[in-house]
Amino acid sequence: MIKFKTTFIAVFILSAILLASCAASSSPAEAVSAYWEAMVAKDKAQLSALSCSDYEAEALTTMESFGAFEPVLSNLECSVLETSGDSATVQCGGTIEVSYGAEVLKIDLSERNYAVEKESGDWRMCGTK
Amino acid sequence: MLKHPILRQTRFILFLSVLLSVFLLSACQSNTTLPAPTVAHQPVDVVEPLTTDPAPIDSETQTPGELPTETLAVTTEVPKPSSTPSPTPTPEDFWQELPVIPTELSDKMREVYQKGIAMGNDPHTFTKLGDCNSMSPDFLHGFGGMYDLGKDYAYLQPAIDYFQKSFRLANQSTNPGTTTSRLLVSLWTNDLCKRDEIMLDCQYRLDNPSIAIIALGTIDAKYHQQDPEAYERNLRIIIESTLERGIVPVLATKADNIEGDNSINATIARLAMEYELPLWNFWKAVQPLENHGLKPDGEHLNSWSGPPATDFSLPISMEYGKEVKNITALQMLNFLMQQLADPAERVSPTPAS
Repeated sequence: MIKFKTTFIAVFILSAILLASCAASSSPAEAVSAYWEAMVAKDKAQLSALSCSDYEAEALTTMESFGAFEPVLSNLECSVLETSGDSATVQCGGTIEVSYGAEVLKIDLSERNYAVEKESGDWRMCGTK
Repeated sequence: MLKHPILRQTRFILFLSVLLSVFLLSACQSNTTLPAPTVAHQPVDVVEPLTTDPAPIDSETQTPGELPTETLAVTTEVPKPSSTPSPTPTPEDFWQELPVIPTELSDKMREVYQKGIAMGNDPHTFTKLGDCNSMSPDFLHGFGGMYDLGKDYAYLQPAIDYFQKSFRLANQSTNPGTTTSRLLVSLWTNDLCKRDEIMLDCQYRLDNPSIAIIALGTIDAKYHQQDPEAYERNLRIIIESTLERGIVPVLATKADNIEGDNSINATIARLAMEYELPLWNFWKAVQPLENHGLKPDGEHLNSWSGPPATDFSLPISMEYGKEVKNITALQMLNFLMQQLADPAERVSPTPAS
C-alpha cells in the first residue's frame, strides 16, 4: 500500500511539472519572443500562427518589408507588463538590425509595448500599444 | 506466475503514468511549436564584389567594398551592366516609348489636386517616397540652396522658387532598402510618427504635400521572384491612399533592371495609365548614358559632381545618373507647377534659351 501511494504521488508531481512547463511555454512573453524569431527567420507559417487574426495581414507585410535582406535579431528578452484575462501587455528588449552595405538600420524593440491576446487557447501577437 | 495484487496494481499505475507523460508531452509540443531561433537559410546568392568606379564621384553610403556582405534571399540573376542598345520595343514594352516628362495632365489629376488643396494640402510642398537612389542629399536636396542650373536649365528656376520649402524637408520614406511594403507598416517609423501609424501615413501627415514623387521598385525587384504579385499589390495601395488624400502621385520608372525582364517598370507605367497619373519615365532619360547612369553594381546611380549632384554648369553633368535624375525630377515639378498651380502664386517660367 505504501508503494502504491508513492507511485501515485510521483505520477501526480510529474503531471504537475509537465503541465506547468506547458503553460510557461505559451505565455504572452514567449508568444512575442516567438513572433520576433519567426519575423527574422521569415517563417510565414509561424508568423501567421503567432499573430491574432486581426493582425496577421500586417505581420506578413512587415515580414515582406525586410525584402531580400537578412535581419539579425539580438538580445531579445520579453516580459509581461500586465495581464487581464485573455489580454496582456508585453515589453521587450533587443534589436533587429538590417545591413545595406555600409549602412545599418537598427530597430529597437523596446520602443514599443506589445498587445497580446489569447485566441483558440494560444497567446498571439496583436500589434503595438 | 501469480503475482501479489499490490505489485500488479503498481505496475499498472506505472504504465498509466508513462502513458500520461507521453500524452502531456505531445500535447505540450503541439501547443508551443516555437520557430527555430535562427535565421532561415534559404538558397542565397551573394552579391558579387563591386569594383570602384574611378571616374564618377559618389558618396553613396553603400560603398562598393561593403556590398559583398549583403545576401539575397532569392536566387536572382543580377543583370550585368550593359551599354548595348535596348531591343526593339514590343507591345509589352510600350512604356519604353513614353516621354520622360508627360506632355499633358489628366483632368482626373487636376480634380485630385483641387480636392487636396480644398482639404488643406500645401500647394508648395511635394514629398518623396523611394529607396537609396532617392535619398537626401543626393536627390533634390541640392535645389534647396546648393545648385547651378547653368544656361540650359535656368528656365527651371521658377520651379525651385515655387517648391522652395520642400527640397530640404526631413524625410523618412527614402532610405536604403525601402520597399513598397515598408511604407505600409509601422515597424520602420521614427519617433515623429504615432503609435501604429504606418510610414506612408506618417510621411503625408508630417509633410502635408500636394504632390508625391513615388520612385520605388529597385529593392522590391530583389524580392520579386519570391512574390511577383507583391509589388503591384502594394503600389496600388500606395496610389489609392495617396489619391484619397488629394495628393497627386507621380510614378517614376527606375534606371535598373534587377528583376531581369523590366516587369517592374512595365507595372509602374501600366498603373500610371490605369489611374491617369503623371509618369516620370526616368528609365528613358538614362538610356543614352553609359551604363544607363548606373554604377557597375547595376543598382546605384553614378554621379559626376558628388552630392548633392545639382551642378549643371557643364554639359558633362548630364552624362551621369544622379544629375539626370535631379534635373528630370525638377522638370517634372516644373511641369506640374505649370499645369496645377494658381497662376497668381507662381512666377511665370521663362522659356529655355
